[in-house]
Amino acid sequence: MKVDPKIKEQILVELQKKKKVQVAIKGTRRQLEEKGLAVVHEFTNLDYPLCTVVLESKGDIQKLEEDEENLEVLYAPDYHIL
Amino acid sequence: MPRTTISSETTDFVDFTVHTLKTITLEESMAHIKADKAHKKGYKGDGVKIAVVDTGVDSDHPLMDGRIVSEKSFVSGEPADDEQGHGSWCASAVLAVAPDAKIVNAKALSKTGSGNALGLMEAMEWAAEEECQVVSCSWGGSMPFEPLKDLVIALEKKYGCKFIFAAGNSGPSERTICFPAGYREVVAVGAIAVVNPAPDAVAEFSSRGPGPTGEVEPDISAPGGSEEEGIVGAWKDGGMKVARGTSMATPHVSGSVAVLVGAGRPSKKAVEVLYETARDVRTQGKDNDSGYGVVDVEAAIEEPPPPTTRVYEINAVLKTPFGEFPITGIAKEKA
Repeated sequence: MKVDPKIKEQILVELQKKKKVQVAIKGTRRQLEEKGLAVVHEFTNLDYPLCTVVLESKGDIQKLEEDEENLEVLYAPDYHIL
Repeated sequence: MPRTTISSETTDFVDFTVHTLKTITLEESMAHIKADKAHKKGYKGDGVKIAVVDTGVDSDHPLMDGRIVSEKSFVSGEPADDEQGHGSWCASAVLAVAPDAKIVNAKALSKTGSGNALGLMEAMEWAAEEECQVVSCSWGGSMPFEPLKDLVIALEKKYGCKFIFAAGNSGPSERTICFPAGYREVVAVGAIAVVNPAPDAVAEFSSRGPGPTGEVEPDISAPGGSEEEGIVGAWKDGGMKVARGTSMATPHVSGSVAVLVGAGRPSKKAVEVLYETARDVRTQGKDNDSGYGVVDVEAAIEEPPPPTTRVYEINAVLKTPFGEFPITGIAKEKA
C-alpha cells in the first residue's frame, strides 16, 4: 500500500500517545479484511471505497507497507469545538 | 471556543454580575436575525429534523423541551449524553430559532471537545440516514481532510440535506478559515455581535477568508458573540453558560434553514435564499469578513419562491376519420 512518509510519522507519533490509531484506507471492507486489517466502518455513500481501520502497533504499519496492492492510506485529523 | 468563565453546572442560574462581557439571551440573538418575525407568521421549523453533530445533548435540559427524537454516540466509551456542554448549547440555539423543529443528537466529539474526522463522518452519515434536513456542525480544525468534504457533497446529493459548518475562531487575519468550512463546497458561518461593540460588527475572532483556493469565505454570518459580548444558552447537567464563537453562530444558521424548510423550501434552496436576503454589513455582496452578510429570516421567508414547473402525463386517444391513435407522453408548463 502507499503510505506517505509524513503520514507514517504522524501515525507513529499518535501510536506513542494512544494505544490505537484510526486511519482511512481507500479500499473496500472485503479487500482490507482479506489482508487481516481491523475494519471498523465502511463509508458506502462516497463514490470511491473508503474504510476506517484501526492500527494498534508498528507491526500493523509494516503490514500496510509490505502489501503490494496500491491502496492509499490517509491520516484523518482530529477536529475540535469552535 | 473563546468563552467566559461564568457557568452554572447544576441549575439554570448564571451569575451575570461578575464578568465584564455583555450577556445576550438566545431570545435577543434569535430576534436579531428576525426569526421572531417568522415565528409570528407561523414559521417555526415545524416537522423539520436537525442533527447536532457535537459533544452530545443534555436531553433532560428544560430548554430541550422534549424535542430530541433520536440520539447515538460515535465516541467510544461515552454515552450520547453531553458530558462537555457545547452540544447542548448548540441544540438550544437551534431551538431558539426553530422552536418547532426536532433535534437528532449525533455525538461524535468527546467530553474533551475533540473527535476524529472519521468518527465525525460516521455521525454525519447517520444523521443523513435519519432523514435530517439540516446538520449543524460547530467544529473544525486546521488540517484539511478531503474525504469529509466528499462525504458532505455525496450526502447532500443523495439525501437532500444541508450541512452547516463553523468558520473558525482564528480571526481577524485573512486566510484563517478552518476546515472543513474552508472548502468551497461547504457552508461556512462567521460570527457577528448583537449589540457590543456594535450591532452586526464582525467578531474579531471570527475566521476570515479567502479560502485555500482563493474563494471568498465565510458564506454567511449570524450572532456568535464578540470580544465584548457572549450569548447564554443551555449547558450540560441542566446548566446554562455564556459562550461565544463561530460555534454559537452556526446553530443560528441551521435553525434559520429549518424555518425555511418548514415553510416548504428544500434545504439547498433555503441556504441560497438566506444568501440572497442576508443583510450586507461590509462591502456590497460577498466579502471575506462576513460572507453575504447577516442572516435575515424574515426577509428570507418573504422572498417569493421561484415559479414551479407543472408536469402533465398525457394518456389519450385521438379519434379521427382515419382511425384511433393513442397519444402518450409528458408535457411541462411553467406555472
